[in-house]
Amino acid sequence: MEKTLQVLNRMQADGVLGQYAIGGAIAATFYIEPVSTSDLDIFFTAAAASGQFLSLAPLYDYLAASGYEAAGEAVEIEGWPVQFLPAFNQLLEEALAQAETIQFKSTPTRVMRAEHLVAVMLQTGRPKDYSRIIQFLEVDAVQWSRLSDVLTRHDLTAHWEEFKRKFNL
Amino acid sequence: MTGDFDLDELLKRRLARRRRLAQLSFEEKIEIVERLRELRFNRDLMSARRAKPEGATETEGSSEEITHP
Repeated sequence: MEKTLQVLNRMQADGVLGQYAIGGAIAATFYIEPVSTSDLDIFFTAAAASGQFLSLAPLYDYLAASGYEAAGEAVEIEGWPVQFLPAFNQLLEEALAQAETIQFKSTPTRVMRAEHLVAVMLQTGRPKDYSRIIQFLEVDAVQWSRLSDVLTRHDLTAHWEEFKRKFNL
Repeated sequence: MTGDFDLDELLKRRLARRRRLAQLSFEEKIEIVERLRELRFNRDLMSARRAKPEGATETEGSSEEITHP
């Protein structure tokens, strides 16, 4: 994983990748018990000009030139299939902007905050997302005031109330 | 009690285990995730081999259809 993160940091330094943050199951693993997953979700700033499609081609070309080939929806980088996901809504943009900088061994990287991950999972709303939210709550991984702010800002309060009602929280 | 085991006790123990695992360092947790990926890869490989028709022989590159972790 460290080598994978080093490649991502190099991409950033070379201007191929903008600001990025780890999301998904690996980000969840930062806060809760290890989550079984086969890939690394990397959210990045999507800077496509208004009205134009965002192209991942420069990113894929850069990686291919370094010997990292695309495999399905991901690119295999140093043993980890990496999925590059543009921050496609305001919640993800905020999660990306406010991600926490951490060290993985001796390599710096950024991980989405627990409150944003919970809000994203609530918004996504698959059964596995709900189950994972419960895991975040079980280990006291969220700061309630911060979560409340995120939910309010992104109009997810009603979703949250519904989630609490459904799971008797 | 449910049957011959105590469900409350089981849930309590599961929660305690989850909390203990959550306290591990990120590096330690990623090591576990990587081990799980390896186990899944080996399991998938075994299943693929078992699913091969009888008499089929291993061909070069056949196992590469499954992405190695």
